[in-house]
Amino acid sequence: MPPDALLSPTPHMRGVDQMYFFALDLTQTTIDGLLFGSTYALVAIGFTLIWGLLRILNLAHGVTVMVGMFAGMLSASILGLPFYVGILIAMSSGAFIGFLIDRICYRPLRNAHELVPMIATLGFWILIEEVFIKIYSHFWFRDYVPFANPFDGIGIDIGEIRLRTDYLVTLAVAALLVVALYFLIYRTRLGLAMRMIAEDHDIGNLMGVPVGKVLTIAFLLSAAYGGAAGYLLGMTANLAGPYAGSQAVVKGLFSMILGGAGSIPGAIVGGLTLGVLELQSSFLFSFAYRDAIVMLALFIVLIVRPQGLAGKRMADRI
Amino acid sequence: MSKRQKAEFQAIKAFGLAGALAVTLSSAATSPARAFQDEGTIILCSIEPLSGIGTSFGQPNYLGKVIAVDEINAEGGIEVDGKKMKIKLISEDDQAKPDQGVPLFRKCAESDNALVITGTQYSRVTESMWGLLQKKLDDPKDGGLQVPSMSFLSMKAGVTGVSEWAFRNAGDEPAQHELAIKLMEERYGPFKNYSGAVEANEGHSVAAWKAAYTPALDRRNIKATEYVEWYETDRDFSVQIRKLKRANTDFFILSSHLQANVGAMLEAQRQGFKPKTIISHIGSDAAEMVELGKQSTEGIVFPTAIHMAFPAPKVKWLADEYKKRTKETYMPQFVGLGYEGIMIVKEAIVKAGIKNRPETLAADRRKVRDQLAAIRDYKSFAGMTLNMNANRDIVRPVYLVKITGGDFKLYWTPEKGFLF
Amino acid sequence: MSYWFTIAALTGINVLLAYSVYASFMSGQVSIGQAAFFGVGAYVGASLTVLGGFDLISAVLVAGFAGAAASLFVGVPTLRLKGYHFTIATVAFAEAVRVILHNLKYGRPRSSGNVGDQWLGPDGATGFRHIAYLNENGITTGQYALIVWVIVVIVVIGFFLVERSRIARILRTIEEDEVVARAIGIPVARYKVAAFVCGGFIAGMSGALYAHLLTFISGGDFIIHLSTIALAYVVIGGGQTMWGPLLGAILFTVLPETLRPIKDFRIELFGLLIILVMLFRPTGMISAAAVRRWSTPWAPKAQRKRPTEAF
Repeated sequence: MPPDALLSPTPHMRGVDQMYFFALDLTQTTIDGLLFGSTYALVAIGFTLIWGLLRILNLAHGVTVMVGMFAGMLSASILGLPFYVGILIAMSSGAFIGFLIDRICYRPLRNAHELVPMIATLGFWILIEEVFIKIYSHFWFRDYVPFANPFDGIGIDIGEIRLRTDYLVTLAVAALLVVALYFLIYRTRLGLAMRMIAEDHDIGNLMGVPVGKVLTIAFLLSAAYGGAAGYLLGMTANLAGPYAGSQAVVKGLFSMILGGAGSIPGAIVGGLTLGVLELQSSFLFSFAYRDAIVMLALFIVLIVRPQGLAGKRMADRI
Repeated sequence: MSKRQKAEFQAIKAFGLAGALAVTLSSAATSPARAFQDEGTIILCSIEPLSGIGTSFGQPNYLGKVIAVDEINAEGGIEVDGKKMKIKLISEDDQAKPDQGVPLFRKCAESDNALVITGTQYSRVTESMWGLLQKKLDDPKDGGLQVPSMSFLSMKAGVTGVSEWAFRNAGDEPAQHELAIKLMEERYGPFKNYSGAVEANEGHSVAAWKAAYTPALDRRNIKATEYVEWYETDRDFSVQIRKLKRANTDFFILSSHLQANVGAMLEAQRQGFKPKTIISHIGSDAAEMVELGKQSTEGIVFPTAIHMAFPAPKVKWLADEYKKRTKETYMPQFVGLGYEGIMIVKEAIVKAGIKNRPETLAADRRKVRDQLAAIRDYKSFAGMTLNMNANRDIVRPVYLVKITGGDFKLYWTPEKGFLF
Repeated sequence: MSYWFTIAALTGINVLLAYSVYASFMSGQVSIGQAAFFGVGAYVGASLTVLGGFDLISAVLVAGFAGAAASLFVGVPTLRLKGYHFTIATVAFAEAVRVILHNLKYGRPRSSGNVGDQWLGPDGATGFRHIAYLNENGITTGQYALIVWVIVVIVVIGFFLVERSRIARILRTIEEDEVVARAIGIPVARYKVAAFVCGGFIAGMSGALYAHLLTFISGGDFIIHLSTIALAYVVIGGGQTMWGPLLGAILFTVLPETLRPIKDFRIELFGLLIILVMLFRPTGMISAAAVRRWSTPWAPKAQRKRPTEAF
């Protein structure tokens, strides 16, 4: 692998042309990164909801992404349902998984140390993913199945910059879901209850908040967002595979951390940053160290700003 | 009983159950069916990624083996020491994980007493497994296992170098790609810009780039105009494809596997990146390429060992048999390689003149190993003649496949040249 | 038989990995990044025997120090991170290390070798081949399992002694409440880093042992799942006492192997068992109370306290 070929953009182009294309591609890469990062942000929102409320790392979140992706695949490719119906199906099937996570991994263990439900979600993840793969390979003798993408190949051109329609749709859906979540959290009684629980469970209990019920709703919400992310991830890549959940969960986790664990604006900032960081580091620097660059950025953010890029500074509870 | 005691009681009950389950299972594990050779079977072990990441080639390969074993057993088995003996194929699943494969390899060699271990097919795991073998023959200082092992894939360049007991039936990747580049140059050349894309987290693709594509370009005094990398699990390829496009690539080397290939080619279609020629490797041999990639993967050329469209009648039969068992219309080369591999092993066993008794196991293994190393002018079911080379790789003729009209069409054969 | 010796060796390696998590776990630092030190240990250990001509034991020890150095590198800057921020920093670091290992190339050319196999030492994504120390020196799997378990026993004895000493109480105090610990004059920072570095040392040794058992390693082996499973061993076995990691790692390495007769469903059962253990014994399989009960069966009932909290 010639390292110089990696560092210098397209050595055969010279002068003004090279500058022009460089600027153009830089812009395009940034835009693509932002748009692409919105799926990461969606995965991260699901993560961060549970984290913010319970301080539990929900490792089974990938399962909701995977189930959402396959529910979407079935509705889009096999049943041929329109996009908006498909995404609702994906969200509700994700929510079903969220319900299971709540009932199996969280509820019976709510009084235990935070690590206990986390390891339970690890078990749940392994179990469901394997069962799912068994079912999947019974029906398909394939690693991946096609995911019908109605927006494929269409784009909006602004000068020489091209915006992929499916990415724009992803961004729009993500934005819509975020606005809905904001409305829910800051404008409804349920949101008030959630905020109270996030502060302190006991206070919530004392104030007469039905903590269990609220948390179930939080699990359903988180998983529904995971399902939506699964649908969009599958659609933009035009394929669905049983391992997609595990892969997405790592990206979602890093987005959440980057932006600030437990904060919803943090998840969005983190997801978009991760998207841009990934694409830009493979555009500007060596791809070979793309993930290392991302991880070191993450590490530095953690040390310099433990609360994340967008998180609020937490008061030390002393 | 208080609530707490009740909970404790339940927990104890559950643990008792779990313990009983574990004991039953472990007793089942320690008393394997001890059907040794003297009961009239030849034991072959098959280690494959039957679940997990390598399923797309592990399952077809395994099916190829099973079809071969079924066929041999239907004919009564292999003639050993004057009487016909059936083959018992012990199948193990390594999930493409080395820490599963290593114990399994030992189990096959020392508990199952397999005569030959076939597998595994995922290079990463194969390398760890073959590391257990004796490096050089008759080296008394080397305490490694002495059992012949043959992989019917493990394409990664150089894996058989680990041990003299290791064999491979996959095709010589450097020769394959040299030929592919040469033929494409003759037909569509000259090309100005050669560029490569490599799946950087996958050993085989990286090794193919280093050991096959780069030397081939070096021989032509060509430096890759653009070189990009991605990961198998990536979902956005816009940056890489744009770089390739900006480099005015007309000869595109795609050293990568199906998911990334599909994603990258779809992105190429979006960006209007259409190189004159695209060559790829075995990673493109999967039905997903046309099912998922649709128009975008049209025109990709890759070398193959065995193709459905070969004129030999047995190939057609195998494809039908495969279709019967899986309902798949396209038979990837892994099936043929698995089937053919078992047949080569059978040939070696027949020629070795083994006794197949518990006390002769070590000698039998050695004889079979020597016969495998001495495979010359073997007539494959697919019609070609095969030879084992000094690196213990089967040397086989190269065929090219081109993705055309949503199908994998045989494109070039050594006998007829370009078919279309 | 050597199949079970291989399993025994792998189990020992996993036990060490579990203890490497447990070392810092005692002081309340939960790491999901042990794969980094494990990987560093594997690369250093293998390099020493393959390229440096070291013998196994010294290679393993040096690998341990390499793991310790790497963990010092993480431990110091992340000291002031609280709780999960620390956990997450270890994840990020481990991923960065994995990518770096994946791209490492050093060593020397091999005089003889097939095409594509002409390099001794790690060769980027192609991996690190020919870690043939065991075969070359005629060490059988049984002997290797013994070597691994001797190291395991030494580590277990070490933890046993620590567990009965002042140090363990100090670490537990730090885990309970750092502020209180600082207030009563415990040098919290020093203890926390020391505990984490001990974990790194054990992980490094474990990695070197792993590399020699597997004979081939590549950066892709040291993924985040490995770190998560390592933590799972501790939580499942029980994080309150030193016996937990031992039991967790043994059970969850051996079980998937004994489940092989029902091989098609063994991974599902593995997942199911994790859930079941967590549901029925949230404190892990062995709790501090259970250990007290067994170690002092003559103790009056009043002393058999129940833990008020899980850990």
